[in-house]
Amino acid sequence: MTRAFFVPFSFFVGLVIAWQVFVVAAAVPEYLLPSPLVIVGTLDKSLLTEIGYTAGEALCGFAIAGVLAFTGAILFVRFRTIEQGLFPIAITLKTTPIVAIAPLLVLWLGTGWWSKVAAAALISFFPVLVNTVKGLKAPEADFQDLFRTMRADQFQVFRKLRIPYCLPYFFSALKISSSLAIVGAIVGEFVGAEHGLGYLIVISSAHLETPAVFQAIGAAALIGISMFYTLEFFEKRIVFWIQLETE
Amino acid sequence: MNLRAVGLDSRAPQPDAGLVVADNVVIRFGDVDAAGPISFSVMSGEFISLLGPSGCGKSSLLRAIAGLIPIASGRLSIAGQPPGEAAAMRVGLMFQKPLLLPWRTTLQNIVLPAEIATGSSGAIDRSERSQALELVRMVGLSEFADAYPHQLSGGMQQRAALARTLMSDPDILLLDEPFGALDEFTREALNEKLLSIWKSGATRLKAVIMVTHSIPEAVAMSDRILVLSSRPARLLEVVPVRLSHPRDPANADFARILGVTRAAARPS
Ligand SMILES: Nc1ncnc2c1ncn2[C@@H]1O[C@H](COP(=O)(O)OP(=O)(O)OP(=O)(O)O)[C@@H](O)[C@H]1O
Ligand SMILES: [Mg+2]
Repeated sequence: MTRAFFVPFSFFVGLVIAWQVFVVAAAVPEYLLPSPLVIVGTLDKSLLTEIGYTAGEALCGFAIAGVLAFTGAILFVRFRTIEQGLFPIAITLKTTPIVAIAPLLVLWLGTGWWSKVAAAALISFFPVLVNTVKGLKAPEADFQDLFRTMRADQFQVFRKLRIPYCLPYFFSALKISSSLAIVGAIVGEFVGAEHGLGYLIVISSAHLETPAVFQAIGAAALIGISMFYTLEFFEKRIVFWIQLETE
Repeated sequence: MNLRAVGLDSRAPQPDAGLVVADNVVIRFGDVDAAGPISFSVMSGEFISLLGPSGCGKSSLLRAIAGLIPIASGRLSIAGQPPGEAAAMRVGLMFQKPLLLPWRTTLQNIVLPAEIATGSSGAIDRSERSQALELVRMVGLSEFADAYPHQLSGGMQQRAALARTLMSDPDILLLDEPFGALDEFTREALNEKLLSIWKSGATRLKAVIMVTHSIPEAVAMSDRILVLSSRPARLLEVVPVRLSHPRDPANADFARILGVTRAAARPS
């Protein structure tokens, strides 16, 4: 076992034990703070279904946002007018909290799957757009001059210089956005849903079934962590030159 | 008698006018004069050094010849045509920095000009591939053909950049302090390599213009040295170097030319 894994793992185990001891010793009522043993003991297969809903919505919204943001970034950088016209609007939308928009999305798209997908996509779109635009513009002027001396056309400059150059920026934005996508999906479920972890949290806390709330929170974290590490797996392989440079 | 046949048509490149002709060229960034007014011409078959103090406008002159920046006034022509438009003459510029793409291996970096020349397909043919392999061998990087730039030393990166510039098969080679960042020892070895490529006749090279800070390097390499003033670069003196290769720095003529160049370059 590597140290990088062992150290945080032992701290985690220590915290969980402290939590268990505190709850038992102080006789904290279960509806306020259930003990780790109770949370794990009351786990039920039905949680998997809820995870499936939320993860599906988050992933779908995240994928849509990734594709749109990448395409949008290329259009922004290729056509300055589009960037000048849309970037301020994009920034305004970015600063509008998703909680404020979610009710509208449910109103427009219903309480089903698509309103959550839209919320997840909306919240994860902007970091990817902004970072990818930054990455596409990042190649220093000398690199662009190099391509000019080779008489490259705009398409070649994008394919062989700008796009590979922006990939590290794109991936780091995707990692940020992956956790945001889950926030979007859960907020969407808070507003109106029949399934999902957000729905589970709202219903269980209303009925003071606090262990189920903790289970849902843990599950949301698990989805986030798996998305993050999956992305990191691909990042290490696709933008290998960045890892190698900093090693 | 047909005037065109004896080269009297004014639009045809004049045989004695030179491959690169600068006539009162001025380069300006905003209200900063970077170079000029400066006039010189480079003949076919010549290896020219531009020698001048730091920041005097040497890189700007090369960039203008490569057609990357416009000139503010005067006239600049490559084989009788404005820079960047001389379709028949290919100009290759090796930048001050290696500028290798980090996601490409040495070989992949070197074939880049050929890939770009194919247009949208981007697929190079077998003869281009073998040309690239030949260049890799020529600059002594065969063992590192599949290595990535970060796995190369500074000198190896510069050699890869030189090979990439040669891959575009230039008629006119512009070198911006090609090995300036390297130690004396490596630099001399690479300069010799460059000279042997230039002398070999295996390429279509017709002229080389090399920017340098180093007086001994200029004397060792070139047929003529253009000594430039501090910014904005003007021509202080042209020093011809009529010595055969290989040149021996211990030779008396070498030392004499070194002295002449040094005197010309000394800030007055
Ligand atoms: N893109 C630019 N915009 C504005 N000023 C510039 C630009 N490029 C160069 N200059 C200015 O022009 C002058 C000449 O620059 P240049 O790079 O040609 O000098 P140089 O002789 O190559 O210097 P060095 O030996 O340090 O490489 C400098 O004063 C520099 O600040
Ligand atoms: Mg320079």
